[in-house]
Amino acid sequence: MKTRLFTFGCSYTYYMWPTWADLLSVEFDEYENWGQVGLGNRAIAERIAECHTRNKITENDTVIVQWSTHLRHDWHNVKGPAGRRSGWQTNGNVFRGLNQQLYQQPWLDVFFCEKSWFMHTLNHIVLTKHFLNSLGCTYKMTSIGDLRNLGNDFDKLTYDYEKVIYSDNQYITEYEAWNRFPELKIYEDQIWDDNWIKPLNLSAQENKDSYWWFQASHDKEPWMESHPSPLQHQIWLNTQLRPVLDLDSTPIGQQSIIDVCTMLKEKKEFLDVLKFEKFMMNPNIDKCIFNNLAWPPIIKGF
Amino acid sequence: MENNKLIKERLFTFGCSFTEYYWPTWAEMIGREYDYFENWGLSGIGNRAILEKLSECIINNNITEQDTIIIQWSEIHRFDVHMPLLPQRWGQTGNILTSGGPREEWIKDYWNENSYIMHTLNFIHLAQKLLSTLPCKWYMFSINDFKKDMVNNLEFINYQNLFSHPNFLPPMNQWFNQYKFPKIELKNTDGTKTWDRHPIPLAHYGWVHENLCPILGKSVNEKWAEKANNILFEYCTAYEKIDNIYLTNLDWYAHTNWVGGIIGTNYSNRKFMDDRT
Repeated sequence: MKTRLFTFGCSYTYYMWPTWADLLSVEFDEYENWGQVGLGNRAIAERIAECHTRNKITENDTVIVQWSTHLRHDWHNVKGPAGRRSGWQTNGNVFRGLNQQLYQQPWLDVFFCEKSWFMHTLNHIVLTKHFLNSLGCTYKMTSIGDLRNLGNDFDKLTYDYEKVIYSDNQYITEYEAWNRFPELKIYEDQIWDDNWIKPLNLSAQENKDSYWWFQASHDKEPWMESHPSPLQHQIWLNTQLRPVLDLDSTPIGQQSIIDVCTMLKEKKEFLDVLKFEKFMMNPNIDKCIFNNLAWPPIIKGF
Repeated sequence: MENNKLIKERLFTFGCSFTEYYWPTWAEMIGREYDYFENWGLSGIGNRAILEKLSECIINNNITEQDTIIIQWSEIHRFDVHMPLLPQRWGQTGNILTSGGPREEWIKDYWNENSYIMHTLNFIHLAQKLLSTLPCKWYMFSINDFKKDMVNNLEFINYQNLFSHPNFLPPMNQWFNQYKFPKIELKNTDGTKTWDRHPIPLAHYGWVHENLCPILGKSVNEKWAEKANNILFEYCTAYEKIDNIYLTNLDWYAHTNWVGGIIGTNYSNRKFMDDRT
């Protein structure tokens, strides 16, 4: 029987370089990466439902879900308005510089409420857990930071915009969500169980030396790319995810992907991240760049 | 919300104005036949809100085999916004035809009908799978025929099995359209009048009697439905007065627990309802 892997998430799952999902895929016969850069948790939940309508996930399949943050406004348009691509349009959290034109104060006044948005995230996780339980597949869940920390556990060096800046200057506690929104704590026991794995960004922050740095000709100084590097993805995969999936010894193919990535990154021209992205995401890239991984992965779904 | 250890059979209903309205709906008629009844329906909401309210309800109640959950899906053209400062939690002006402010601008520029069809199909899918993991009885239905409107669009052909699930009942309007129930004209707050398009109490009674009672093994009180209907046609002339008229003339409120959600303050009456669609 063929083994199938389905992965879901945001740019921590699908990115310009191989992530934990791609590294893990070499151990499965079939692989679909439903991650998409910028997605929020509603989109992730909907895409899991959509994936099942297309693939009929069974108890023989493995599903890994990486939740993003509660500050993303997921919207979908099949036509791609205003020069955008078609499909999910999320593009990260609403406070991100790229989104400031779209989500100005009048919009935020009407539509944004952190408590509601955190509740939406919790609801989408509950719905997804029941959904996956009903399918009988093997599944695990993770996130970027611990969702209960509302983005306050992201290292300042890597991210400083995946959280709400509170005006009350209150001391931020561990699991700040339950401090701010105690009525939502009722969700905790039904969400965080044995299927959860250490958040990706927390693992990456423990291996700070392995982040990738870039410096294009126009950059005055080198700057650190905040997404986990392939090596950081590999560390998380091998120390957190693979042990709970009861997989055999680490395959050679996994290391060869890391080696190719490292070799490419060392090329001088790829100090410019845009050039690196253009090379890596070019659909006409030499398919043999990774001899055991179809690259770049095709974006799935509507 | 779970306040009585002796409760045996509980009913939880979800939907829009076809489930929660100025006058009793199918939900309240069948709800009277249960030991405990929560109506999570809310006029004006769309399918995203219905799905999230279902999730909230599951989290907030230990659902058992003694329980029954019934969902009435709304139309696809609604834009749901959660507003915890409102007692009813979800904004009720969700229809995309509602005009004004950032909502209108957003919808004009970014709303897409096919995307909203996809969302509703995903919501139904998520709800069906969630309910299938619970020990309770459950049923769902829509107002109009989703299958005809949506899945016949080849893009969404993969979703067609959702509607052949045995727990997906025929759409309400398919039954209502067989009969010519009278309509009522009511005065709006601005003095204009509207022929209300919602089913009257006797229409709800007929629907629940023929479609829900047989599968639930229940009967509904015809005299109570007649009384609700008579009150509507004899006393009600303006929307803003309906709540008080029913409060005075029908033993309705005592048996229904209207539930907005987990966040915010609880409400014990229906005075929040001033903007139903």
